[in-house]
Amino acid sequence: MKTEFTYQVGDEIKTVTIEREGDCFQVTVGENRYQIRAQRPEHGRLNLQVGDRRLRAHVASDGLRRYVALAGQTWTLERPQPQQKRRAAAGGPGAGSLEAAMPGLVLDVLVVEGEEVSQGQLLVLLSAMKMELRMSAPVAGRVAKVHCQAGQVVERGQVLVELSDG
Amino acid sequence: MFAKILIANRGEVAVRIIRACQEMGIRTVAVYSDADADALHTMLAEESVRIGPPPPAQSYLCGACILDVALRLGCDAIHPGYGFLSENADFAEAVQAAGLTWIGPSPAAMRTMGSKTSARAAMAAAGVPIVPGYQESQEEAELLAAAGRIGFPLLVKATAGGGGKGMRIVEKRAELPAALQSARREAQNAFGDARIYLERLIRSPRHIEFQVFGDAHGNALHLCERECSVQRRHQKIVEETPSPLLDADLRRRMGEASVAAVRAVGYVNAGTLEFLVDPADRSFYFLEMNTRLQVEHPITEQVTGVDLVKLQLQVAAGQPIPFTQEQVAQRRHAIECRIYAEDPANGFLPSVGKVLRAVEPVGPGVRVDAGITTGDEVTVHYDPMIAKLIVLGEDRADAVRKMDWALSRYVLLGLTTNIPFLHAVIGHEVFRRGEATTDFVERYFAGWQPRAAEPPDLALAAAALAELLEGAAVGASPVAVGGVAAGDPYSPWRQTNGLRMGAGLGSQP
Repeated sequence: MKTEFTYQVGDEIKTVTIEREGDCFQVTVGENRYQIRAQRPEHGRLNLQVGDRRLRAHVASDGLRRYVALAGQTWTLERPQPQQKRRAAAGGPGAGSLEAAMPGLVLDVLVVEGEEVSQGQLLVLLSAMKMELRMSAPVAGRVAKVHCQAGQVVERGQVLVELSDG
Repeated sequence: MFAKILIANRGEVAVRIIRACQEMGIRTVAVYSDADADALHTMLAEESVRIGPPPPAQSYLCGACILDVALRLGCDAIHPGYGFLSENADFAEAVQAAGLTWIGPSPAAMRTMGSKTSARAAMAAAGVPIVPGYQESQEEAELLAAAGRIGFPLLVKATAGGGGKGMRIVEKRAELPAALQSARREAQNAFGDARIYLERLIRSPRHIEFQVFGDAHGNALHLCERECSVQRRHQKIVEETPSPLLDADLRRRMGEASVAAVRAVGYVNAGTLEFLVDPADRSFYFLEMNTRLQVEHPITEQVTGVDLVKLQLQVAAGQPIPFTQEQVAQRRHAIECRIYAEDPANGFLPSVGKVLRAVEPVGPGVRVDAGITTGDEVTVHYDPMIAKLIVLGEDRADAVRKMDWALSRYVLLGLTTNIPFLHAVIGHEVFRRGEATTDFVERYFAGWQPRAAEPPDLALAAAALAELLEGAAVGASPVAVGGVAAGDPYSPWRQTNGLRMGAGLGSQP
């Protein structure tokens, strides 16, 4: 039985196909074929053998993100978004919206909905790990919606303020 | 010796102190905020008490809350670690007034050395070289006249300052009045204190500090230097000892000045004198004194064989320092790298998240002081420094190679760290030659980005094999060909959180 996995690498989608033969696997990455012996001695760890090389890999996953530590390097891979999620993301916030540049605690929101703001105007004050970050309007416009309030913890990339054309 | 100590801190330093206490047979009390209920330090201590919500002002900086816990649980001493309340003389005084021992210097010594200007005055009186400067008046005319005597370029600094706030570089006389005004405004905003002073600017200096110790029996000595010239935005990132710059003569002279400083203020317990060294003429100047344990104390421990935390406890308990200056020697070479939860590809902004898997490097001469392990959460509330990697090599070249190896083998999955940046720093030829100055990072790493290398086939294969094997291990049926089902974020791989927690507990030290 063949199983296929896809990963987003930059703009490219890489496909990995695995066919099991006992504790040995025929693995195809793009055009290349490998015979890999793989065991999972404990959660989060793989023992691999490729030809004469034996390696210990550490793996973890978080949502669509996959982490692989192998031979002294750590790689972060992304599984592609499911179709419906991709569409939702495409219809998401426009270029005029302010997204959190880092995860953090909202210290202060300096604007209210309906307010006209100029480009570069300070909208939200974020703080994380003793560092303060001033989040300013990327473009001039009107505040269509404020999505955060003081005291709230936000994630990186979360929309803080939506702006619309003045 | 004490029977029970409260550790008024969190993270790796709390873990470090708790371990030392446990080795000495002293019971420990940890305090924690709601964000740290499951943190390593709370699990390690014999007793752990919640002190408040996550913001430091309501938890780790709440001296009254912490003192209350110490009294209620019958502690006989408080160790403040570094940061938080460690340099708060009022808190130290309150601890002593409550009848407990403060593991640190006297509140009076903390006050003298806590203000930059009073520290400068005390050091000048003790014959310790200070950077030529002027702090006697806030009058414009006096400051302008003094600037002429000091010479340009010079620095305007805030009396209450720290972290570069209220600091201005002035290249020539005409720029001074405007610089004074803006520095005062910034100092007033940052510290509520507009006072400033002037100092000669030493271009491209080295930052070299001396570990000192005094005891209640009049003994004072130093445990040699640490070089901390590799800094990013005034934050140290790589430290080492011995310093590649010092020779025996300069080490002896700086050490003697440091001990003179300790004697001058009657300093008891651990402290650090920070100096700027001008590499051009090898002259050194007192910068400031830190009246507490330092983040980078492990490298001193590695080369001198002295456990500084245990020595702090012994001295606080009234015992004399059990060795003499002549018995202090640096053996081999130690380097420390600070691991920060920050994203070099996103302007070094903080990165938070759950540590999905932590595997620390182990081997001869490799030490990890970490506050986190598998399953722990790194939050927005506290310092981004999550661990320190320390190596001890035969000599400097060996230590650098060992650090290179250890950085590669430090697996931290789930959050972004500065490990790739540390790798680049210790690989840089200027660092390799031992010639880094405090502007090294600014000069050679401006706009630095981690190499966006494409993952090798084997990494992709490992990821896919993990999906297959981890999924099968929890009894889920293999996913179908086609990739859509396999791309589901709620795939079998995600259902293994329970197991992951188990793995986390198993790997705790």
